[in-house]
Amino acid sequence: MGVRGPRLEQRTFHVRDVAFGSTFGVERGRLELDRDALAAAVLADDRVARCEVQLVVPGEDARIVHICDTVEPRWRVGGGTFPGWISPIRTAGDGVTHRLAGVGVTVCCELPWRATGGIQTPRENIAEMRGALAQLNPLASLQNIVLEIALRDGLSDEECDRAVHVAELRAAEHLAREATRERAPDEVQIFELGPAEPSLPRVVYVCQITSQGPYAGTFYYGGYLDRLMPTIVHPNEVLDGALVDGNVAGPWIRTPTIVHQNNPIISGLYRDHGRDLAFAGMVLLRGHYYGMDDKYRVAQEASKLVRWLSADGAIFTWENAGNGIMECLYTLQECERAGVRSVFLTWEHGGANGDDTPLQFYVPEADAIVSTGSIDEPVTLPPVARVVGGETVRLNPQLGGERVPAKGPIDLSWRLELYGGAGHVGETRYGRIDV
Amino acid sequence: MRANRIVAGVRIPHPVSNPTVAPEKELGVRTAVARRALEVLTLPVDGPTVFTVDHPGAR
Repeated sequence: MGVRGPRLEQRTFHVRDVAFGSTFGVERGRLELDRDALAAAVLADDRVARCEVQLVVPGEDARIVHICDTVEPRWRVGGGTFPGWISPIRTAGDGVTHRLAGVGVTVCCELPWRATGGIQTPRENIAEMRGALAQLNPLASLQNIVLEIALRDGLSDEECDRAVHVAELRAAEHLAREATRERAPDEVQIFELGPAEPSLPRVVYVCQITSQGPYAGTFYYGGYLDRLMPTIVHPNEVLDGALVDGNVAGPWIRTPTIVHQNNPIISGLYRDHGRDLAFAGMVLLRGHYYGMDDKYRVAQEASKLVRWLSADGAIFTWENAGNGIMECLYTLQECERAGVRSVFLTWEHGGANGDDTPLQFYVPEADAIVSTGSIDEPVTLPPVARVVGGETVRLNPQLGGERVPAKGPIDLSWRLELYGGAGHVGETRYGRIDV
Repeated sequence: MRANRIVAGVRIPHPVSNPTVAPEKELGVRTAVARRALEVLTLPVDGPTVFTVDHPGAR
């Protein structure tokens, strides 16, 4: 007798339209929400000094700025939503969860620039809602519920970092719970890794995140993953809210929480499980360590876990930029040497004209690479009629910072400020769009 | 331009120093890395080559 694995029943309520009203509910694709009650749920945290709720819809002549993160509204039946944040720490991914599909709750806040500096400086996170660049962010296809918040003075960087996520997660849970509690879903999907034919190839998903403290972190059940040793997680945990993204320091090269919740590698492997392959599990590791010894250490550990899962093949994704690519590729190298055929998803550099070196680091074993696009081509964000999140944006913190009107036009010498654009896990249309 | 001789420094945020050792020893770390860099300039190489520093605290 084996132990029963996690079984996640996702009850989906599809939303195609959203409007303010006097109560919460979802009916035939129309979501109604009580703006004041949602703000009150956020303001119950005394670190939040101000909260305005705004709606932004697909195709609107609008831009969202000061984005800290986006989350899909979820409510776990019986409690336990977003464990480690607004519920006690308990393994996610087993049970019944309601979700509002097609909706994103985005929290916008102008985080302070302090002495932390360097890679931890919060950067401007911008999402375009129309035009070619809109295809690069996860918001342009969503009904967006935007929380414009201001934090109380005197908070530490870590308190600021936590407060913005508590705000979005409280709002997301409140919305999903109040809107769907007594209602029947449009769709029910079961995520359970049942038995698969032994002849099918076993495929492991190796997911590398980054986590480097406040404003550059990833949270696992509410805690920073900065000192994470590579570990095996069940994919349901990720789908069910175990990972929360806090990497405001790397707008383009981050994985917003809503992308973790809907990771297309996980859903794709689930789709193919038992038919073309056996989804053998998921290895989570942190990249972008500061020394070669740590890079070699996590690569050995992560590749060992992949082998323990008896993998025939592995899919690698990584997050962030720079030397963070090394842990992922050293792990891939070790897997290939052990006979695990490996595929690597990555964005590229390539320079403004696309003719420069694409990757900062390379191993010859990485002979199956999927590109999600380039970051280096300069873009100009056009003027828009409406901005949500703030009146100005702050660019170039490394040069002391400059404020420009958020309505644009905004010249970006490269695309770092475009929120969620690199598409590390293949969630956006393409990383490269000609404009 | 090609970087044929590479000296492996301490860590990415502080390649030629080590804030975790005492200041009086830290000077020794810096000197070791700099001396190694000067030394490898005199060594023949066939292509890009990584050199390590043989000094406690330097890596």
